[in-house]
Amino acid sequence: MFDHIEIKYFGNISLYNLLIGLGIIFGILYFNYKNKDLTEEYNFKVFNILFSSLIFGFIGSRIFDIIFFYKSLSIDNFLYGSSTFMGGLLFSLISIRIISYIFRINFFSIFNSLVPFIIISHFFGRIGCFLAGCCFGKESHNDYLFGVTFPKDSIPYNFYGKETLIHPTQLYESFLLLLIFFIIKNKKNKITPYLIFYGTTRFFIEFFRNDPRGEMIINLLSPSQFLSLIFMIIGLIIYFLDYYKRIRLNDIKIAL
Amino acid sequence: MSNEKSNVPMIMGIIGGVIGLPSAVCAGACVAGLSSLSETSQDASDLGSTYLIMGVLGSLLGLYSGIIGKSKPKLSGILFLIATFMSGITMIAGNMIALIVTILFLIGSVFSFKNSKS
Repeated sequence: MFDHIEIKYFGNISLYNLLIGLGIIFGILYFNYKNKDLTEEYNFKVFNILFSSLIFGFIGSRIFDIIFFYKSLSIDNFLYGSSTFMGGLLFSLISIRIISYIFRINFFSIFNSLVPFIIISHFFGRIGCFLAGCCFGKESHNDYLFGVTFPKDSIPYNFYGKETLIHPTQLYESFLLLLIFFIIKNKKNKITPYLIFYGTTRFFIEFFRNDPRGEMIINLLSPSQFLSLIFMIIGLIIYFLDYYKRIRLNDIKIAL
Repeated sequence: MSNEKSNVPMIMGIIGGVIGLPSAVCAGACVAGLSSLSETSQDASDLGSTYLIMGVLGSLLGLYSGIIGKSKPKLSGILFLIATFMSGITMIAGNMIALIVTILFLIGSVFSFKNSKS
């Protein structure tokens, strides 16, 4: 497994964390590249919003894990539990909404400019998932084209109890995120296509996933599928109610 | 212009932050575990919590310093130094990853101050 790098005398560095870090770095570099003309004051505000959204995202991802896996609310479950992207995204958006209000920055503009950042970080994060062996898929029934095996002592090996071909759902999602990135990167309104495309992608990928998916009161859909549907609906609402017309990045400078 | 400034503080802060956070959590747990062998469990737990909080706050501060490294370089440099100190302290707990994190934050601090002069 490639879930960590071992540095002699120092210890192990988790590749999952490292890839999330790389995702954040490339996301910020892309943001700076696309927004070269913004003032330092504006950049400072944006990066404060970004930092708070990372913290709230982390908190949200752990809280969702506790809620949908019926774990007790404790510090241990919070610190050592697993993370869910959808919960993180939801909490991040809430924090962006609150802090953009405090900074008097248009929420749609800031969210729109951060969409590529979210996709890039998520893309790297899913590759990290693949290296760590989490978020794995169902057995692919000896389909060598769409099947990968994870080695002994990996999470999928321990789950299935044998080396078996499974769907690399982490790589499916990474590839589709890359595709979404190229579709939206030159669009003015990035929010609607992101919410709709990612919601759809996640909704269908959930059918191939086999790691514990959490439970809801009505178990027709997984919690992530339910949230995917909500994201798709929000994306459509933003489009049909013309909220996307509020996306005016240059107006933020006037607001400052 | 902001884009003439170095990206090194941002890279150092983020890499240091993401590898420092889990190791800080680990170090806190380790100290509590090891100390409980020789001291009362309450003292061990307190000591572990201190290292945990110190390490986590240091990593978060480093991450924040990295993120604001370009827009507020002087502030970033000062925060990097504080983060370096806080992460460095957790090395006492045998958290050797903290040494790497400390070096990364220190490099970030130097480049932040360099950015503030440009």
